Amino acid sequence: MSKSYEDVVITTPISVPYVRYSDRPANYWLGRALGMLSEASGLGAQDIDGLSVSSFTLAPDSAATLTQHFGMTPRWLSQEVTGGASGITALRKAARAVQMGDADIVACIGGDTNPKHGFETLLDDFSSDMSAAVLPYGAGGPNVSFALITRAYMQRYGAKREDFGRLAVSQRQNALGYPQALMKKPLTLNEYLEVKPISSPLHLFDCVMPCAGAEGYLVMSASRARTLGLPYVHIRATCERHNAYSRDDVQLRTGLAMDAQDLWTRAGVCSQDMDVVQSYDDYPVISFMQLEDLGFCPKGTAKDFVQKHDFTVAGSFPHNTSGGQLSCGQAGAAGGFLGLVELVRQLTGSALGEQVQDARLGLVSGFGIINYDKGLSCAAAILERGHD
Amino acid sequence: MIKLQVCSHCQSVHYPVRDICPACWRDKLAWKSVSAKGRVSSFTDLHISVKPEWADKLPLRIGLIKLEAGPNVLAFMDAKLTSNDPVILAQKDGVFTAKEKL
Ligand SMILES: [Zn+2]
Repeated sequence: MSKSYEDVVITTPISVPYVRYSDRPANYWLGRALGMLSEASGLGAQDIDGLSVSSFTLAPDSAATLTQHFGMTPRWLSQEVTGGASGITALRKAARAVQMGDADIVACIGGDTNPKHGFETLLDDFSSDMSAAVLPYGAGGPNVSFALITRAYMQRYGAKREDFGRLAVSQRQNALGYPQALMKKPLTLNEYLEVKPISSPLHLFDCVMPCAGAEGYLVMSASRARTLGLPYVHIRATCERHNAYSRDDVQLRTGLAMDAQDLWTRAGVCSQDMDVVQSYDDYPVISFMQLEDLGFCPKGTAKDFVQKHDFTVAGSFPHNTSGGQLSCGQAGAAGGFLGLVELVRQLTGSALGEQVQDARLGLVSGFGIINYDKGLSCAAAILERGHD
Repeated sequence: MIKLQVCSHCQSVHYPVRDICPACWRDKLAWKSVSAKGRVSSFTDLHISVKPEWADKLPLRIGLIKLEAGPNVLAFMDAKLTSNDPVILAQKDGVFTAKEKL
């Protein structure tokens, strides 16, 4: 069983405001994240001795070449390749590095650029299976893979578009209070249902809008954070899993189902204890699956759970309180950080938008790398508001 | 019949293309004829493509097919076909098309 993270904490959640298109390279967006971490913490290149980078559009550069771009001399370096799970997989590695003394302060950053037509290029370079086995069928990219998953899920469990719509509508309401969301107009269920189809049963408001931006946070010891006067959160437990249930005909469950029970046991809390939850929402169906696989509701019943609860910030189940990617936009790998960064804000009482009252415990989950017919990587973390 | 990679060591069938066998990690994959029969697990009507060259061909129905031989494949399919239908696949230039299995 994984050991506890002892007094390793997360501080300094930052978000580089998203823009729809950018001609600047990923280096710029990641560099801005580092700059904002420095401004918010008072720390500089001489203090930050660990760097973790997640980006889809960084090539031919890498975490290693970025150290020269950023004038850093870290003694610990990592590049995350798990996309939508990368905010959490970065945390897992960084926390152990700090716990074991391989680094004192790790900057974890994720971000991407998005030039016009950049998404097309990104898909071409995504993976060999995407190129050979998905793109030849109309080049719908991940929309096609997720459309197939969404229809199978609806057929199996009786979920309806109205159920996914309730999630999208509540997240838009959350986004209206979050200053950095790109979607700033209210969304009604009727508008959600009647918008144009993209790849049935997916319609426009089921799909994230690609954009440019970055997110980041720092990992250090609690004592260091206290000395620096930085609000922080504790890491109660985490998990990650790759290529789970690979023999399933269609992906109706994520690898989180393999690890959820152990995750809750290690955290010493249960799902009902969570004051705020952030799930990875590049498409509503995958948020449904995460909520089920993590045990917030039985398999196949997220459609009832979302109708029974109010998912807005002030509601009975505050979920994706920044509006999530569906309303903020998806800045590439920053999408894998958005939920974690927002959760740290909520648990330190520093929400940019509406604050969940007295939030003490929260969960964030991630899901990424739609290589072919399934998403391959998933991860989750249970965090707790800082205490002495 | 369609051609897919079959492992000469463990006989497992693979798609998309693999460089070593995912089931036994041997490098004994060979292209062999396997059954073209399968069943539709799910489908989508694609209305918007990322690539402009597809624009005038849309919408297209695309199925996720579970092959009797084992793997999942994507395939273009007739608009009258739906989930759970038995289908038979044709393969041309590495692209599959699903027809109703009569
Ligand atoms: Zn084999």
